[in-house]
Amino acid sequence: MSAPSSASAATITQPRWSSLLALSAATFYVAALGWLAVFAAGPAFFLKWQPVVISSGSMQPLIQTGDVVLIEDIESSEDLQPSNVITFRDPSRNGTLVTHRIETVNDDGTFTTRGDANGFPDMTPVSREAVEGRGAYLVPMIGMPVTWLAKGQLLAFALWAGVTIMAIGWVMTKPEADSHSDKGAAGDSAGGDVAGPEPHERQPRTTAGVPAAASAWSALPIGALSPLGSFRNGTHNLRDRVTSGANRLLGRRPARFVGIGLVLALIGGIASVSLAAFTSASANEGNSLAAAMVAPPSNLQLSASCTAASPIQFRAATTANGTSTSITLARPVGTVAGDTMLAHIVLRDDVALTAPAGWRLVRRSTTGPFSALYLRTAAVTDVTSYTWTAASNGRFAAGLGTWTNVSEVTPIDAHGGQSGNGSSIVAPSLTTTVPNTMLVAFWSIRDDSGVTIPAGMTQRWQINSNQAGAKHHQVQTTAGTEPFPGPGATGTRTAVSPSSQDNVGQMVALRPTSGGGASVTAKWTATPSATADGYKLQRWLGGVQETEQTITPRTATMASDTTVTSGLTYTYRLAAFDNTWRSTELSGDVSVPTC
Amino acid sequence: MFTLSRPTAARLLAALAALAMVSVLTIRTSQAAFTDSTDNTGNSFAVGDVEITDDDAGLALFDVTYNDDTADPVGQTGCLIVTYAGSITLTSDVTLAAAFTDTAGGPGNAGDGLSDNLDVLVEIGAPGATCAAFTTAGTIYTGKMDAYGAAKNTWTPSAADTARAFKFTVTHAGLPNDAQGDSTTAGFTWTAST
Repeated sequence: MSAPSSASAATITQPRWSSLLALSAATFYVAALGWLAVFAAGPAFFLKWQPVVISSGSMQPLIQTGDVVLIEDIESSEDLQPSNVITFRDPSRNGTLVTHRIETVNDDGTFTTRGDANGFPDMTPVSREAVEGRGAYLVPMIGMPVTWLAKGQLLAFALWAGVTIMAIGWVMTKPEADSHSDKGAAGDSAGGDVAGPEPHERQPRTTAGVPAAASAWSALPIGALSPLGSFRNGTHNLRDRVTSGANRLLGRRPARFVGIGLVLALIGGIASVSLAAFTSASANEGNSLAAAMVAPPSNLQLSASCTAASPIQFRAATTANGTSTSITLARPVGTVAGDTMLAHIVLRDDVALTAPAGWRLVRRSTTGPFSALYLRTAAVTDVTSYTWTAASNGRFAAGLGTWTNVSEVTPIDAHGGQSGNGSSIVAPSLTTTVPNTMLVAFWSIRDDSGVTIPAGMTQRWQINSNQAGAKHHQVQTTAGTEPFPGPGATGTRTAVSPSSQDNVGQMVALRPTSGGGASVTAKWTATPSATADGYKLQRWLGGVQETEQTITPRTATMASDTTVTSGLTYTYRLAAFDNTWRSTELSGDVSVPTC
Repeated sequence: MFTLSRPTAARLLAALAALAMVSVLTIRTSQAAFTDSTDNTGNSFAVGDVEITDDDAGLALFDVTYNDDTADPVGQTGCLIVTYAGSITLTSDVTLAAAFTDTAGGPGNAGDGLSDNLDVLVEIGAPGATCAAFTTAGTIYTGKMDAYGAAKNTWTPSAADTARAFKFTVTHAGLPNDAQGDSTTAGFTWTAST
């Protein structure tokens, strides 16, 4: 059955050296694997260092894919310095572990990291909290199986596992088995066995040298060859070998699986997988987006003035008299559009009187001499005479005067009248509301002696009806004027007649135009902003904004404010604007003088 | 004895040799990798590379000045082509990060810059789309510039799809008075990682 031992002298010495070499290599491999596993796992147990398997290559050449980095806890962030290798949870990779080197420690306490093989630092700074630890010890290669598993490279893992199982199995085979196999192998050789893929392969022991091939060779033919074993001389040994290999695989020696399981557990079960990622970045930098600014105007200068309104002035007057059903008054010479005309129509007796077009009745007295006062503002194109028509024949005395610089909107500030009998004709006092009115007093009397107007007034006309008959059948009108500074009570204006008769005194206060008065003028240097639309000029009084003017265009450099009151001090604020944008403000104070 | 002791001795020797080798190896590599004096900047290796480029020729996409509150509300656009030129096949997206540096200025400013007033639309072009003939394949980001946040995923390059156009549109809905004089400097960074 078994091979004769006669060949032992030759087979003992010759294959032993090669088998010893192969056995040593297998032992070295298994031992190295074990030691690496112990080196990787030992500090994890004894020093609490955490093993991390590196799964990619950006820390090459110092740290390769498959290396295990043992990281130590960091007491304080001050312990971390540039050039330290740290393992951190990368915020830009959903917390994936990354092992890179600190390039700079930033002012905010974060770290900028970079893989040694990367041309660019990592984009996202690493906070202290994200640092898992600092690299303390590097165990090369031992994590390769874990990375194969992690990356799904199952073929590589299976090859490694097969090689390792075979190596462990063989190394753990007892020396007696080796000796027995040696004998068997010798018999195979002598019998010229051709069952294997290499017919002259001397020793299955070479599985240590070519483990993968041997393992495949050993594993496959088990079922096929076993029944044939009895037919051939060498098959017993072959079967032994095959059975031995099958035993190794099928776990009759579970220690072998325990061995590889231990290796895997030591390196894989306790280690985290960390990337050492290759990174490249390309940037588009220096994009500038800016909002312009409206530049303010400069050199704001404020000035204030107060000029009195132009005084009301008497221009000219015309008169007419007669006994008729009408009286016609000519337009005074020099009357221009906008002038104010006052007509005083006096009749001996009360009568219904119709005024010409454009005239309005101011007031009239039907007690004593009939005295009606009419007003008209001269139009641009105007007739040259005006006719009043009476309902019946009457004795007229009439005068018409023209004044300029009277307000067209409100020509009469106040008016009044009273009738009496005696030598004194009293025009009653008025109360004016504005300064610089012009008082015009009208005195009428049933007499033709001629009245004397009061001192201070200037007589504008005096005319009698001048008809035949007794003096008291006559009638007379006299008008006098006097500027009144006001505002306030004017006092009466009394004319004196040589004869005591029925009389009427009337007076109006003409209001001046509103021109002139106080104003503030602002001047400045235009804004240099070409897109500006113009300026906003605000007037403030006592911390309260009163007005805001908009001045356009951008090239404007002046504005005036005529709604100020003399005697007050205002603050003006000037800014340039461009749609809703406003420049910074210039401001200044100005006091408006009294007029 | 002889036949028993030789393999045992060989195993013993091999195990000791393995221990010695592993010890030396781990200590040496550890020293190389972790000593503080280590500096390996600029190393390159033949194991493959990751390289990403763009065609901006170093020029910024935007240099815009808004002259008033309603200037250019319809937007400014910029476009460039990003190309992955590495030999390593990427399995994850190229990311696009945006960084803004705000500068406040002008009258009555609220102490911030312009990025909170600007709306940004970032679009990625379809495969093969150019800047001249841009067709969008999706929106990477739309919103206020200052709210961009973390880097956004764009696309995973492949051998048949190495380059994409990226179009940026910056608009605003009227710049308030206190935005006068404000500005922002923007940087866009594409990162490819294994």
